[in-house]
Amino acid sequence: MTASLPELVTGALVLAGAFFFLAGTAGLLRFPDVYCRLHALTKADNLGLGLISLGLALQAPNWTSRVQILLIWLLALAAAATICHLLARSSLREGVPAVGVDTEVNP
Amino acid sequence: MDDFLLVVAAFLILNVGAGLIRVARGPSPADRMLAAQLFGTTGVAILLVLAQATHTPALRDVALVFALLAVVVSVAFVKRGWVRTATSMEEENGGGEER
Amino acid sequence: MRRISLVWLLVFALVWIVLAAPRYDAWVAGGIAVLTGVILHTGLGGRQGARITLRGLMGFVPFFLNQSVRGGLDVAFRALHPTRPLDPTFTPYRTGLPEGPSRIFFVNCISLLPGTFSAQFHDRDLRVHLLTDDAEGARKLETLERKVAGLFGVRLEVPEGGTPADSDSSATRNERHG
Repeated sequence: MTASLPELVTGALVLAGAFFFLAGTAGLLRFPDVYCRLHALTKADNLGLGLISLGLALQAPNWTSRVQILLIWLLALAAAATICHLLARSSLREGVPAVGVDTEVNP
Repeated sequence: MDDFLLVVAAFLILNVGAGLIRVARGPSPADRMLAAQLFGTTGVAILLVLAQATHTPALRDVALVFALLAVVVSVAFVKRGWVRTATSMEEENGGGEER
Repeated sequence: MRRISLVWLLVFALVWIVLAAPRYDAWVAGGIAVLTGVILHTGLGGRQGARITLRGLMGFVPFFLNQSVRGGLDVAFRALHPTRPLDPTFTPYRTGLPEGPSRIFFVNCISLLPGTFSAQFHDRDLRVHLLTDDAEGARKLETLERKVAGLFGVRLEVPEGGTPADSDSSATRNERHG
């Protein structure tokens, strides 16, 4: 079995992307509070998705597919930023305690 | 190439599965809602990989919808879901959020 | 009534072509979708002053990609490190960006760049969560702010207070007792 150069590049990018998803999940499970977990998900997962998208775009059959993949990534970025902000804001409002910060939870 | 991508997709699905531990454990409703984020990004990645591996371009459209729905779900949660969950938890556990 | 922008009509039409790629016979639905998109975009204030320039885009995209990679590596390192080195904190930040798209864009970018996300914002005052409590955090925000200003071709206004106000956090605390 032989793989062409573009296939090797795609393979490397997709593997790197999968690694960042693994890291994101590790952060989600290991980080101490909801705010830190949000960091893990938004950053690691979006870089992971970016790398996988880039890798797959190299294999895409035509330009519209490539642009479509790019659009999906941009949309996912916007979604992640929005979700992150919303969850953090409502967590603060509901007084979910943060590690290392003296946020007062209602007495 | 296709087999390799299928393995990657399986790995990503395992990732989502591991993330579900956080959903089950909580403790706050927002921790559980992180699942929407996880499904959003990882789900999109899985669908993109599968679209390539199985030569089904339609799956890319599904990925697009996934990304959109993740936002809608989160907005709905923040606007409606949270208040109800938080109050019902307080009623059940006397204000304690840990279990 | 704001005028419908031809540029945006073209952009939305291109998006439709990409989405409906192999089916050019779907233009009835496409036409409706594109028009709705443009009208909503105009109605929601898409033409408020700020305008993305090509030069700004060339400056911003490499910066954003570079920072995204760093953000991912940084958080991956912390998540996989045996001791999870974290020192999280909230910090207030006052932005000099004018109201409108550039400010919203800035707030969203904060959440995507290394070690920071925006937790609350009201007017000019942001509340940013930092993964590590160090002086670098504020500097990174200032750099990002300048890049966003460049992207939208807007000038940074000097905030009235000068230093970022701490009132934001105390206001939230009072809210909880109210």
